[in-house]
Amino acid sequence: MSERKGPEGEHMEAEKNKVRVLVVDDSAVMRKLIPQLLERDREIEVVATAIDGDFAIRKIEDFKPDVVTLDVDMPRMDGLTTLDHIVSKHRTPVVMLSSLTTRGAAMTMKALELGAVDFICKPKGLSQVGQMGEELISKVKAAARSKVIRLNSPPPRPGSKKKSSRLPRRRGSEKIVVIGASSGGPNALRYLLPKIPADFDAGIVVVQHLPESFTGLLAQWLDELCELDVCEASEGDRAYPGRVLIANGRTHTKVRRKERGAEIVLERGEPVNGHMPSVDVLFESVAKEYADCATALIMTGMGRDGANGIGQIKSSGGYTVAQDKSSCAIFGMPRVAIEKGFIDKVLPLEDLASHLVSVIGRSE
Amino acid sequence: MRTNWKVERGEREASMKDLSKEELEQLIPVFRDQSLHIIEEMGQDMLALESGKHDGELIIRLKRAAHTIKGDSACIGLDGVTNLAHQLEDIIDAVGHGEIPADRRVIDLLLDSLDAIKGAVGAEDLTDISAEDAVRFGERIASLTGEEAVLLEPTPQAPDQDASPSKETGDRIPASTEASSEAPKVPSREFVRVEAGRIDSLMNLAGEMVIARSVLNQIGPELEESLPKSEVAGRFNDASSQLGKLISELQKSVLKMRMVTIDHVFKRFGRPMRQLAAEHGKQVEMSVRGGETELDRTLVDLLYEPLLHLLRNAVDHGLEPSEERESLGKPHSGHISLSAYHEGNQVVVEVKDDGRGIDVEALKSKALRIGAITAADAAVMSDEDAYELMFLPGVSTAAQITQISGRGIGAAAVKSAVEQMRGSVSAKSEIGKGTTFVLRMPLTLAIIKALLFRAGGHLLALPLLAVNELARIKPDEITFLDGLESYRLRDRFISLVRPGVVFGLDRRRGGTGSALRGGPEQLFIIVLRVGSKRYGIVADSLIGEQELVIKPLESRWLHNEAMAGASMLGDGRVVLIMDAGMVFRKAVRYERAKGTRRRAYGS
Repeated sequence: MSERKGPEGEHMEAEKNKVRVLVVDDSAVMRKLIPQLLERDREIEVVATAIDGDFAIRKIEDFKPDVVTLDVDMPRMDGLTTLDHIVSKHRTPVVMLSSLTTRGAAMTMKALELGAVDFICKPKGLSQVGQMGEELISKVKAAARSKVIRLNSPPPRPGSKKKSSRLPRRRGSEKIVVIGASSGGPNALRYLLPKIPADFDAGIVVVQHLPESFTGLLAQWLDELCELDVCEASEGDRAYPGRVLIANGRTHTKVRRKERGAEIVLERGEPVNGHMPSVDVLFESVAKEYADCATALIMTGMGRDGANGIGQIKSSGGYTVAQDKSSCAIFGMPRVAIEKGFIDKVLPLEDLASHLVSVIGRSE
Repeated sequence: MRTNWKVERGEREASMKDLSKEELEQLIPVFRDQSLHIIEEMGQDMLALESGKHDGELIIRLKRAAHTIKGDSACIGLDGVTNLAHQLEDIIDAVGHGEIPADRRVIDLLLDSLDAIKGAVGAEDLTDISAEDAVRFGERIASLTGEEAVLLEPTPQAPDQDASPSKETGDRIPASTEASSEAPKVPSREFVRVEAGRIDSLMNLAGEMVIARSVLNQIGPELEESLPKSEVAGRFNDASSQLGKLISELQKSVLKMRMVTIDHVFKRFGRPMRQLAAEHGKQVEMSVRGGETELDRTLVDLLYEPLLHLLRNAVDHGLEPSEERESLGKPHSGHISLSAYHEGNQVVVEVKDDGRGIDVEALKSKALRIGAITAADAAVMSDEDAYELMFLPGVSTAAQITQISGRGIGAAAVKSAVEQMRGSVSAKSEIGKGTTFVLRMPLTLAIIKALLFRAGGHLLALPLLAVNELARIKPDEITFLDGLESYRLRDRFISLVRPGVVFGLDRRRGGTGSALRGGPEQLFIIVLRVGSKRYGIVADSLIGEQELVIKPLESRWLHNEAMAGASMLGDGRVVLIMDAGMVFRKAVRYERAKGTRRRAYGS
């Protein structure tokens, strides 16, 4: 995207180095529509389309596309099987196309786990088509620059399911940890959060950019993997030590500082930075409420959401961390924050958990 | 655009982001085409669902189909369709989980919803499902989950689709050895859906190549002549004949690409038959054979209407009600069979019922009454000829024929539709036992084997399929019957036609030889067979047999139905291809009727 090069350079590149895309969808309508939308951007060229997984794989070999857009739900070799193959064999970045149904959401979460870089929801009506087009363009372009990251450590052990932290309601910590993530985030969170022990001494609030039907699923998914207690944040919930609240996809999430943990305040309204929930909205409220008791982490993702917010946290005395380039699927949000000088510490994904534990400490 | 992720969602509503008219216009045909295809398959699957012979695969396929329509229609902006497809998906899901039985009421609702979607999608301008309809469907759907199903009259027997087990032909795909013992699952094969137009243009190109090749064929001898000693000519000929072979192969392959199994049309009858049987309160069993028979896809589409006509008539008039059947000692339910097979270069489709049969005498007397035949004709007419009468317009519309013979309206329409495909239809019947209609069609419409000849100075061609025999005659062998040229072919007189007259290329008509400059004292009669009738075309000279790629006619010919098309030869000359059936109707029948003051047929 534009941040990296000057306008001329960009123009030159547009001619020569278009992002070459393979569109995979079992619907002929989508195979027509998606290229139409993508090629509104001069820097994108759809080099081929494929009707199913078999063809997709063959065409990847023939065309060597930079990015694949892949329908989750396909006959014969389904989207997930195809994805698995692409990720493990070709390592071509994949953007999933999903429907907003429960089934679609579940499959999409699975796809992200398997290493899809990002996903887009198919429109629910004509009025959403244009918007989907823009999302497609930006996500495909980001995906072209992304790394296919597959985190193969199925974290600690879902065996120790029974969470000790569930039993006592602890004293409220004075500290809070807030995390903002976007593209590549679900997978990164899946790696990070299970490494945080149950006696971690701060409540955690996460904004992960996702549509509303996905956030609950993400929480459930993480909950099964983590010692910590993970759930979707509702109005009035408290983020206390041992607990992770995932902001829901319907509203923005803010916090109010209370004695026994941060109280969740949901706020309806327009998307900010194109996102609902927005990282900036959460971070700004945290900066105000928690000042130097806040620790903020900005993780993989496209765009710049969270940069301003993390800047405010830093200027009000909080501690700020960013995921490093090498471990980000898409090094967008962290880079903006780093470039603005808002970040105290840049770390690869592997080191984030232990660093947070060392900063926050464990409760007695 | 490049920084669009910075843009607030509110601003995204801007109109430039929406699909432009052009974009939408490109999308709609794809949408329509695919949706109609899906709907067709869903209809089949829903019937199978009702028959109870289904597995999880069927449910998954139906759900996926509904899902695709839902997603696609959302992008096109047909919210009503999106909504209904969504509900369909839910119902199918519930059926799959056994929450709702796949009984008649549910299947009716599914089929009706499908029809509503089809109506919206298939309309000239896409018209979304109306709000009232949406409400109505909503209510019906709500009632499904509500009270227990009220038992309606016994479900009519679903037409037996399983009689044609193989879905695809064997010869297209080499059967793999492992696809044997287990389930009748079709081994997964690779198919590419290609826009029909692309294959057509490939076909066209292959046709052009055939023409180009014949130019080469003509250059060969010229080369030999001008370079008598050189071996270049020989090499040229070798190369050109090699090229010729390749081109023929290419043409065959492309033709094959256009071939689809006749199942595509057979399958579509399940629903109408179910409905018809229910309407008439008749028990009908339908069996299908030879569904894997291949033919040109354009024919498949054209076949639907005439076959439906025949099937409808069979149910409507051919089959007796159950009580009557039982009293006659026939099986309780009537049986209709639909079968297809290849015979030479033709596809034959038979529609057979075990109903009343056709009353030949009733047919004759009707034909007599409308003046189509004379009493004398009727007296000597063979049964075979008499069945032909049914295809005359005036006869087949007759109410009492319908009652008595069991053949109704539209036999004439069937005939003309079949003849448009350069095919023929005939009937045979046995009173009390049933009737069989036999349709014969060429495998493809794009290429024909034709007989080239000259008449009245014009280069013409006739489909070889229609040619019965050839006769070499002397001009004085042409005699006049009722003032029209005829020729005695063994024991019968056949009418003769001079192409120049039919096409209005040549105003001179009548008198022996007046239109001919051909061989000194020699003419050719091309004897053609149309149904059970024969007639002859007078040719000055015969050129030979050749495969012709039929091209659409220029506008000056459009008014002339006797012309099936035109083709170009290697040397650039244009051949007009005559339609044997139309020539017969236009020239022979019309002239004869005029000559004997009978009422005109045909026109």
